[in-house]
Amino acid sequence: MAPKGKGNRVDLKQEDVLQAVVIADSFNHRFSPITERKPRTLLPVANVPILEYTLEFLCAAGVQEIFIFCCHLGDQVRTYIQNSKWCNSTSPCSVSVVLLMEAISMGDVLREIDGRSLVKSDFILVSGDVIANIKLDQILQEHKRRKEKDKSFIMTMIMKEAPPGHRSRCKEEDITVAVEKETNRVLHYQKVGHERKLDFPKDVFTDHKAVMIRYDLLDCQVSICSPIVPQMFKDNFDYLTRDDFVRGILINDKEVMVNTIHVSVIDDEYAARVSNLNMYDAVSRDVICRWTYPFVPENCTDYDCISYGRHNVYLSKDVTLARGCIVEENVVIGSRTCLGSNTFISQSVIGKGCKIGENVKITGAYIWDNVTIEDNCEVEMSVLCNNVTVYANVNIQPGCVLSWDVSVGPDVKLPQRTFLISHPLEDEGDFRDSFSEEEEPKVSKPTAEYGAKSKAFPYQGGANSDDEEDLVQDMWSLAIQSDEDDDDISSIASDVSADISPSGSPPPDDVKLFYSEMMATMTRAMEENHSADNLILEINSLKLAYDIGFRELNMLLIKALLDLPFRNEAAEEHTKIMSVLQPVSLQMSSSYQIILLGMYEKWHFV
Amino acid sequence: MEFHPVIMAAGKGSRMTDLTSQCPKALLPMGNMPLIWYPIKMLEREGFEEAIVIVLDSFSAEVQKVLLEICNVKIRLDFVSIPDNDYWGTADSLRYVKDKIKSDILVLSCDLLTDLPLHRLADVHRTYNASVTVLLSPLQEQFSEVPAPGVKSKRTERDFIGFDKNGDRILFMSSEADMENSVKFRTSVLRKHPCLTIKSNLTDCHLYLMKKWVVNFLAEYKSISSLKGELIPYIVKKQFAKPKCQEKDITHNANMSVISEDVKTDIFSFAAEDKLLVILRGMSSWMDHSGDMSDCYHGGNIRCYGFVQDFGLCVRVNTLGTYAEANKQIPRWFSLLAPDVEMNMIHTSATVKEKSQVGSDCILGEGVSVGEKVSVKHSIIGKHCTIGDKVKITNSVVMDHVTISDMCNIMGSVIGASAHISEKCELKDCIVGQSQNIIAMGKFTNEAIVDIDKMMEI
Repeated sequence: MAPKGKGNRVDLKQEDVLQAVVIADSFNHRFSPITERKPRTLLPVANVPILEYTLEFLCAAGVQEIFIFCCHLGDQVRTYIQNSKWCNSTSPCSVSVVLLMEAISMGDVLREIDGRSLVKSDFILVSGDVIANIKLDQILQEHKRRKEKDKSFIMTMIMKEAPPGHRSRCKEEDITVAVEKETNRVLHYQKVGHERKLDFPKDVFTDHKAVMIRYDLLDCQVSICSPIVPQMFKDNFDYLTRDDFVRGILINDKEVMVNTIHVSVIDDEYAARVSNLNMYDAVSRDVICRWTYPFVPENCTDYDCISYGRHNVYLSKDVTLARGCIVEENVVIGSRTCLGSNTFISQSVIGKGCKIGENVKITGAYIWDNVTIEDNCEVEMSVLCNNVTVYANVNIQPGCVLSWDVSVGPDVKLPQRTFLISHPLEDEGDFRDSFSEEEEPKVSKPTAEYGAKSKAFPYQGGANSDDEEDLVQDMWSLAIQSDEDDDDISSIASDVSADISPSGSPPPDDVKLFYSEMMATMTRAMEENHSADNLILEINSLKLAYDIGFRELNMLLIKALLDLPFRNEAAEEHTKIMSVLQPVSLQMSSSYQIILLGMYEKWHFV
Repeated sequence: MEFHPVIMAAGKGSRMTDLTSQCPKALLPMGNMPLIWYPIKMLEREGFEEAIVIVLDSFSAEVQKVLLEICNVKIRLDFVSIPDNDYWGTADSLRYVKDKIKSDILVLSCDLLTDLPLHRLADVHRTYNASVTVLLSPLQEQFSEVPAPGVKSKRTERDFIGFDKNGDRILFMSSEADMENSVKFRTSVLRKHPCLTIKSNLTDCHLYLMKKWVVNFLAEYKSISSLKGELIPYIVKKQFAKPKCQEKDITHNANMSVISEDVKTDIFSFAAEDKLLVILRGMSSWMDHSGDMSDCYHGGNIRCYGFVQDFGLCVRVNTLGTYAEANKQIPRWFSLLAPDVEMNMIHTSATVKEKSQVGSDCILGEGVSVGEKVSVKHSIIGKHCTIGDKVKITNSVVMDHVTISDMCNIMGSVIGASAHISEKCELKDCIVGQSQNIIAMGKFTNEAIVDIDKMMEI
């Protein structure tokens, strides 16, 4: 970049240092219980910690100074970095770890950056769980060019093109963006979640010639920010995440200052975040299938020697494969691991120092270091953390997570989506205190359920999750896939009806409640011989209470009136019902009355 | 014939009432030819041999006479007249001629000036086997900013049109007036078409290619009265609806009960595709989209496509501004629009006296007589006009049989047929209605001088 001002050479040099900020904490619980022992960024993907991929990616992009901000178990990250190649004298960039134990959101980190004035020029902001091979230099140049032209431009978000249904998309991170076609300026940014319909403000379209609405983008939380961004976080202390920031800019935009955010779309490179277990699975597969090249297992470690063979089989040093064991495809096996005979392994990662017995079948599983699996076990689509022991004849169904030091078996079958931890739950969190005493006996009991030699306690992730986390609690793709299908059909069905039904009607739940209430009232009136006037009064008050429109009321009342005679089977009841109901039906609008009375007469004869 | 052309020439010209109060829009002079001549010429150019022309009852004879006798049109025209006072929309007209339509149709409006090679549009239509294909063109800036002669009224009629990733399929259509504060998009639609481009700078040129079933559908759904305002948006919307239990209907066909008879056949039963075609598509590797594993067109039978003509010439003459501007440009465009017709800028029978200047981009019609020291620039003068001495005419349109007396100065105005302008008048950006008389020394700026009584009829 050409020097802009007349500043002296020292200034110039400082400006040229490309800085990056890595947020090595997710500030959520997606990976608990696993992350209780190890921060997310150090979890292994294909036997290499995630952080390693992120750093390699930044380093390849020419970043010279990296700040890693961490809070939860931050000291582990610090120790890791201190002992890694990044702190060698040969390291191409300086990596410094900043512990921020009190931070509770990304906003806090950026405010801290502003406080310490760490960044001097445009910097790259990434979260610590990004695995990517984006070539940043072009995007950086574009960013600088745009900044020269447009002073109000403050941020480039980098997004990857990934159509809906792409496996590196997860539901939680589903976004739609409205982008001006020519300039790629972001005009609207929205999370999709469970929404069936997405609202876009009208002025997005009226103020611009051509606007693209893109639902095929994956926000990989890599962005190039101008130094003004941390300042803005400081000025707006309610910004917690980058999304808050983006939304804030886009809305503020129209009122006071015109800051702009642009998006840079990549389509032939890889980028994804290991944001939950589902994504952990997807990203691991992509890494093994080498979509992230050059950041593939054998390139990302320098203390381990990995050989890459056909069908994407990666074998480290000192791997012992017994006779008759089959390593099919897409498999990574760490050093010092032994596989017994007739063992079948496919689509899986096995860590260092594992002992796998005979006749074991492992598919789609992530087995970390020092895991022992005894003979005749079957593991499918699950995560087994360090030091897990699976005794003989255990069948682990898809979607299980066996956290640190758990032992299960022998001779058990773990149902789908079982989460096990090695210690009782009570030290989970302070707000569960009141329950813990009662629960303790309960918790210790299920131990037998997981086998005679087991050391395992169930973990209820759902207990402390807020509503946003519900999306992810079915962590494995199996469940989410089926959800998706259902959703699709129902949304289409609703499309058809949406065209017809009046928009002002209350949500169906209310209607249902109202109906059941009304039925109850009517039956009670019948039993206790209330006068018709009272019944009418009661129905009217119910109508007000549930805020039911006249049309709906008429409809539901007819339904109730027709339904009622069938509920009381006895024939002689009918005349009685008639006597009560006729005045009620007289209250209704005339057209309905005629139909209804006609029907009653018919029944009468029957 | 693959497409049967239907020309909608029954428009009353509601956006330019000052001009159309006595002369139907189709016959407004455009470079001394009636407006409708240009679309007919285009059809001739493209090799069509016959066309249906829909005209208003009261003007039917006139239009026929003008086209057949004066303009010498070769194409076989089938004139269908519709009643004047029923306010029929374009869809109503199309419904009316339904029985004459045996194939897919090409609907076009009489006020379209374009040099588009029609096969470009047909290519899109055929490629995707579309239900409807619409011709769109970017708003030309020279036209959107033209100060219209006459009383100023600013009204924006922008449309918002959403395209898929390829830029062909129309997924969304809404006019600015219909939009509320926010625009809603269904997630299910976005999932199928994850990259939607909404353009606000396009105009619908009222040229459509339609499948025959669309006409059948129109015949059934009588509430739809306009093509652009109702039918096209309806079809665009229905692309994503799911037919209500279509499969069920087929299986229950054998023992069809009484109930199913009064169920109105929905649009999907009209849009049913040839079974062989479906099989063929299943076997083909051709795909209209990428990024997911679903069927071609996502299994939908209703498909609406658009072709954006972002080159050449494409103008709809439906407002005063466009009318005045197009008239000024027509000498340049004439060779594009009607390459086979020799255009005499100054008709052989026109007489121009000494010391008068007529610009090279002016058209003087048959029997025009121009006095001494007259200057005519960027203007069109209709047939049998008489222009006195020392008259200045710039940027104006003068229709037939107009008399302009000595010393007048006319700028940027439109003068209706048989008007009489007395001496020393100055008209700037005005409209003078048919047969108006302007007294001597009159000075007008930005005014519409028309007969009030006649206006009330419209």
